[in-house]
Amino acid sequence: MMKKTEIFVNSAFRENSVWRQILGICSALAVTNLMMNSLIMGLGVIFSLALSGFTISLIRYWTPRSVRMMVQTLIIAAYVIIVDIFLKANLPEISKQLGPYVGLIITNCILMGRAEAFASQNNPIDSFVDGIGAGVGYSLVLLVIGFVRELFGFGSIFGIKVMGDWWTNWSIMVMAPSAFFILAMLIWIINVKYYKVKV
Amino acid sequence: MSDKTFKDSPMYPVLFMLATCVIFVGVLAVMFRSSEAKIEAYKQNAYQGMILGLLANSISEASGESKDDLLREPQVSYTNYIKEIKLPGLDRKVFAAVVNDSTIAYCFDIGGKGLWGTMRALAALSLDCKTLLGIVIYEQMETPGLGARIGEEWFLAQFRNVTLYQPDGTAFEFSFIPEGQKAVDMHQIQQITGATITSVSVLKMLRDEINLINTVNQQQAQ
Repeated sequence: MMKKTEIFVNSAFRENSVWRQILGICSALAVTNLMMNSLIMGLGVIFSLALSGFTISLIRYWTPRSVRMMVQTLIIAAYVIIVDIFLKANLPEISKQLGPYVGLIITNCILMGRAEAFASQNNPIDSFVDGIGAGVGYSLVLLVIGFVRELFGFGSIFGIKVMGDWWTNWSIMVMAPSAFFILAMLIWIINVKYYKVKV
Repeated sequence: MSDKTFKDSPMYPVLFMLATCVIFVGVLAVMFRSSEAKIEAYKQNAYQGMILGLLANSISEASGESKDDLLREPQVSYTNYIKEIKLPGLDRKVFAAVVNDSTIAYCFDIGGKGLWGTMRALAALSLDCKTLLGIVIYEQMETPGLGARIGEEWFLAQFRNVTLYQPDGTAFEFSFIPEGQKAVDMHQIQQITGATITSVSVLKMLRDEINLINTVNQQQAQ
């Protein structure tokens, strides 16, 4: 049986959903133009991943195989809607900024991936830790991409201006295609440096 | 004797799915009901705050009260100075800024089509509806970071105190500042980079809605 820290490190870094499994790419491209959006999106995904993993694991012995994916989607959707309602009621400004992307966490492949690959075969506590790990790994990637895009695209970090008046914003960084290049470079660097993949 | 249990019966998945749906939908319904009042109150306050913000300069000039004082207690100022009215023939929400029983400006709830869906905005107009005092886009489904930037202050500031009609009555047309140049008059707008369709949609919404308001206004005057 794996230790909790090992589960966390595994799902957050060694088997990171984005750079290792190439999952959750759509949202990594869409919301990373600002770091605050990336952070809130990351927190929403951590919450949904951890609790949906816990719940799916809790009821795994009673879940019929034929409808398991429908049940998993239902559980994931319920937690995502809870995040959405919470943001609307308590952090309305951030909810407004994120717009439809909070709801789109439901379609994030990482959630279904972890539900199918881990939560449906492991105990609830391990699934909870795995969910937090996968969410942290995902958020990390979002924040790194967001950092580069916001810095060069807006000259700011978390909305705070860091570049002087001399700086000309790079329009391409605000647009989704820039995230493709940054993500590709990130995956390349990690593959070469960490996994020692020969190019 | 059969080894089959209830879990193996064809009805089990149906009942399991039904039970799961009931439980989760129930939890969501309770959560939504408990937050609904908070969400609605926030929406209402934000909406009223936007109307007051658009009309604050005009109210401040007419009443002598400073803009900061007006915005310090928005609910009180809204109750004191803003009245929702009906303009016959106009199917829009209309708010009038009333100071000492005299109407000094209007705010219209307008709408149009964006890139991904409808957008709704508040447009404040002078009493004769010939000057655009300001706009706020309060509902839109544009791409975050691109088209959604129509809600940013720098973009909206371009529509503040803009004369809409020439002295002979012909309307001024809004246009975009050509690449690499500067605005030559107040009707040239800096569009959002990478969101041309959304920028065009905002101008179209303004043109269509202001024309409609003025047509109704003229009919009323006759």
